[in-house]
Amino acid sequence: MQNRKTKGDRSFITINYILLTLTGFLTLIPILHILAVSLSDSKYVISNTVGILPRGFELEYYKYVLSKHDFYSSYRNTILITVIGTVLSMIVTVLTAYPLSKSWLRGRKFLLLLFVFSMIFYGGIVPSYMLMKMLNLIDTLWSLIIPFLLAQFNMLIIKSYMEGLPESIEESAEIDGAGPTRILFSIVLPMCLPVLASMTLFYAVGYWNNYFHARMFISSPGKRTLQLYLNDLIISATQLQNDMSADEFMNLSPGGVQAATIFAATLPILLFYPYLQKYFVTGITVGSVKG
Amino acid sequence: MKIKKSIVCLLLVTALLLSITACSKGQSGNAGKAKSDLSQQKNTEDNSKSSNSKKPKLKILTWYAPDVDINNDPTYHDVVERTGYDVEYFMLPADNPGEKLNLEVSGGTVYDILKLAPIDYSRLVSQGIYAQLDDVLATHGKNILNSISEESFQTIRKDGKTYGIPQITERPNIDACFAVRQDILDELSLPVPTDLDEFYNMLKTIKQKKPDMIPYTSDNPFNPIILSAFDLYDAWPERNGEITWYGKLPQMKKYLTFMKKLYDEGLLDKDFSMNKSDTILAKFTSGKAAAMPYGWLRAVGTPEALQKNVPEGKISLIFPLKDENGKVGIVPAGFSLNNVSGVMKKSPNIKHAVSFMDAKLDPKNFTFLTLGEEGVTYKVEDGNKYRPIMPEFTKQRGNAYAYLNGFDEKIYPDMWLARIWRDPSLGEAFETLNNKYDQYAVKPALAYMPPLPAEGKYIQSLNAFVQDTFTQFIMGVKPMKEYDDFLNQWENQGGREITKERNEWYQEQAK
Repeated sequence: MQNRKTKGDRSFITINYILLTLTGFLTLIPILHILAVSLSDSKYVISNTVGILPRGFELEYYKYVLSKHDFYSSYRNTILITVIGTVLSMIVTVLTAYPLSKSWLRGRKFLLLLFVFSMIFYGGIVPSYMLMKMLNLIDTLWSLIIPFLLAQFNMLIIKSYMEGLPESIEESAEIDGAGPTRILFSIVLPMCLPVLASMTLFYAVGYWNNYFHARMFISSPGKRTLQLYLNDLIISATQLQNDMSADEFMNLSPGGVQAATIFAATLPILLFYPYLQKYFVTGITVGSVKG
Repeated sequence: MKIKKSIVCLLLVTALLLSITACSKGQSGNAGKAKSDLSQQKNTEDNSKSSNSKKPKLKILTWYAPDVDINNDPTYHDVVERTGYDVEYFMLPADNPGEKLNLEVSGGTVYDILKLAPIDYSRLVSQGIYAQLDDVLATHGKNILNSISEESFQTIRKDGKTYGIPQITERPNIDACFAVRQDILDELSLPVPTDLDEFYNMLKTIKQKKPDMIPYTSDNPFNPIILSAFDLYDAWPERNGEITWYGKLPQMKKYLTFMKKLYDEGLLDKDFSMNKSDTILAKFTSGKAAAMPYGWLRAVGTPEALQKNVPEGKISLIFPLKDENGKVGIVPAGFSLNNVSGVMKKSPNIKHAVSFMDAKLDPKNFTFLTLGEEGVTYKVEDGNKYRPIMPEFTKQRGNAYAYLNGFDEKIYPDMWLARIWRDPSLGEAFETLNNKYDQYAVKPALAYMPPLPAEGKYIQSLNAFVQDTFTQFIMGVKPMKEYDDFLNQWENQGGREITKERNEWYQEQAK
């Protein structure tokens, strides 16, 4: 039997589509505006007469932004931190979650308590800084990876998911002579792929967006991450300088430079996001349903 | 089997840990000094026996310099070559640098040289972070002492001792005026106003004949051009031998009443309390506003932007307005401390740090490091007019200002103009405003005052309070008769302490 939609249903659906499309477009407007500003002639940018479409098309701002050596180095730093950090984090997190998911682990409750406790209480930035200093990690990219290798929340999600897996599969593998490592890599992890994909994403976004700790631990201009670079750029463009920095000042408006930098930095994420979106949505609930 | 497995596990874990520490050694580069870093907590100074050894690498923490590849700039390489010191620069963030600075200092990071904003310098001096430089300057800092005046040093001394090398603002200059649409003045047969009546008249006529335009837009309640007509040039003038805040002078009420009149009659932008500096620029260049606060810095790009939107638009400048006796005045920008370079007490290279900064001020090096080579990056006209040769100047010395630790106060003010003239329109705007420097400039009573303790606590919130209240007076939200109440509040919110402190400093200087 096919579901027949009544007239009411159909008009409801149509109105829904229209409203949601409009709302979607509204959220697009700021991005289109930034894009337009970054492609417009300075004279229009200064007088704030740029709308959603660029006026006086020109690529000067992008040429300027992409000529900055620091732009590329900060991008590279962020990508390095994100990729290496995510890979290492996933390894550490899985190796932590799997044993903790076994109810017969000795000291399990105590270990879990430690993890949850450290999740809630944070020592503060000054002790963290001093710790990094003593480990000689200050002003290195590792200082933005090592302290963040294990996100307890992510670990708990994976642990919950693993607890929900049927024991019988692992038992039969054990009977067949597989050791714990083999079971983990060949049996358990393939079953965990949804949650692993989601946690990978959570970690990646966490590393990509890390601002505060990056700001506090990194001092060399060349080791800045993308977030630091963007922040410095935007703040300094709105400050009055006692002395001019470059003759780019002469022709380009700071607003346009900001717009071009913002767009150049966020474009890759904007392109990735639609494909990864479904993992975000499922990832949040994946660890909660058992069986 | 089980024992074998646990051995393998143990080995793996150890390998992982080792690789992490090994990697961090590679990245940080000075891991070998891990133990010696801790021993640097002692107050070690160079002995004369080590001065013959190779020059150490100096670590310099500096405030934010935008768009500068600070360890790779042409000026950087020349600095290293001329001084013979290998240096590495670190930068504080643009946003809230004090936070990062405090963290680094309390975390025990050691730098050799700290080049900071005066307010950060003050704070660190009171925390005892800096080394005292009087003796070192006498032996290793001859060029520094020759280049920088005693007056400048006075501003950063604490208890008579020197803890840093001051860098004052390059050159006092007039940077404020009004921009007004000359084409509209021509259309309405109005003169460029020179006193308050002409100014008021001009705004009134524009309002009548062009009701769609905003006669005068602004982004804050203070305007030095109008304040000049009320003799309120200096925010902290001397009266009868004492420093007093200009809000307490009777003229301030008259000024506020006048501004209120402008607001009520629609001559002042109704949105002035919400405008930002970008907003008023946008309003003016799009043709909505007839006059706005202006300066030589803003003169870049503005005429062209105006032309695009209003092809017949032309800009004329309004200079500080005369009072009823024909007196004018404005406090120029400058007359203050720009930054201070100091050496950390914990640094093992105090003498070398001072020698490094001294070498840059050596007459053999100073001009070269600031302007480059004559005939290649700069030229001199009429004896003391320094002008850049573009584009070489920007390529080689565009960022030279970031490498200054103090400058030769006798010659740099003129040399600095070369930087302005990188853009001819900027140079012309600067000159137009400053041709009349002697006519208008009033040196502030508190020139070169360093940041004082009570100020740090109160000044920001007090300034915000004043700006908000003045805005309220002008908009009529608060009636003018509450002005005395406001003065009382001002005293209680820190005004009293600040006045007292500033007076103490002023009397000290007068001796």
